[in-house]
Amino acid sequence: MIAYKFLAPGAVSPFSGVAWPPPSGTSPGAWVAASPGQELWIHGCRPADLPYWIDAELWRVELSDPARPVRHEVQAERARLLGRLEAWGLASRREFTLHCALRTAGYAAEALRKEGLDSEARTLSSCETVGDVAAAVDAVKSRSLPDRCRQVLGYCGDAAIWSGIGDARCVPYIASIAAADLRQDPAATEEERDWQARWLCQRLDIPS
Amino acid sequence: MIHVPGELTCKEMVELMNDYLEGRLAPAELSDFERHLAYCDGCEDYLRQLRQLKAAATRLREEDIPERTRNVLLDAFRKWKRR
Repeated sequence: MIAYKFLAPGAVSPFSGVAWPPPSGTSPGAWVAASPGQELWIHGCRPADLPYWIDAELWRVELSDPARPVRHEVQAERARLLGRLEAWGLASRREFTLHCALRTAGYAAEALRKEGLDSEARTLSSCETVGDVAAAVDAVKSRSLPDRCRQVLGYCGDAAIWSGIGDARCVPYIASIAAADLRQDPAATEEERDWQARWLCQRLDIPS
Repeated sequence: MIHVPGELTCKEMVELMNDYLEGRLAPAELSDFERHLAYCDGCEDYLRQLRQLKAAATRLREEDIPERTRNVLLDAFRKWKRR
């Protein structure tokens, strides 16, 4: 099965610290195997799983058969690197982070609109930069607001801060929690994650 | 903050750290644990410190502890037990 895998810089597994053998020319990298008899297999991502596992490098991998799907990942006994997706780099990480911060601003705008603060909501939903989002949050946070609205606005402020320092791992999570908190529905996290997955697939030319 | 099934809080993460380091988490729990690590710098840092602490503690022998330090530590533990 062909899947994807986020790795830390240098093709290193972020959790186990395993350095993955890189492909050479047109040849895939050497197989990496889970320990024999171990219940814990090698993890990979289907396109929809990508937003949950963001890291510095994105690789296309081959997972040995049988691969078993589990929640937000797919697992196999062995895997090998096929090639790095060069489209996932500093520029695309920044773009993704910004879009997630703007999505969070959209949720905060929805919360403000529910409170009749249409002008403030319009300001937030028309933001184009992280600086715009931070300024819009600052302008409204001193107002007297219901707790739920303040909470979603708080996520928006956090997203602006983390996005400002280029953290592509945390901001998508913040957006997903803001969505769930606004709607008071845990399923809204998955809807936001689906949007993020579609954005990544489109930007990185990954068949979804 | 709304509770999302399968999403661990940082407090729950801290409670699971030793089990994670000792390979005692069930596969589903492990997946939830690592998914949290994938976005949380704070828990990632804490886990790194715990790994360093465990590595250092493994190297430490009883005779490496100066007598004065050992007495201070024993005294602190005795007082802590009495509370």
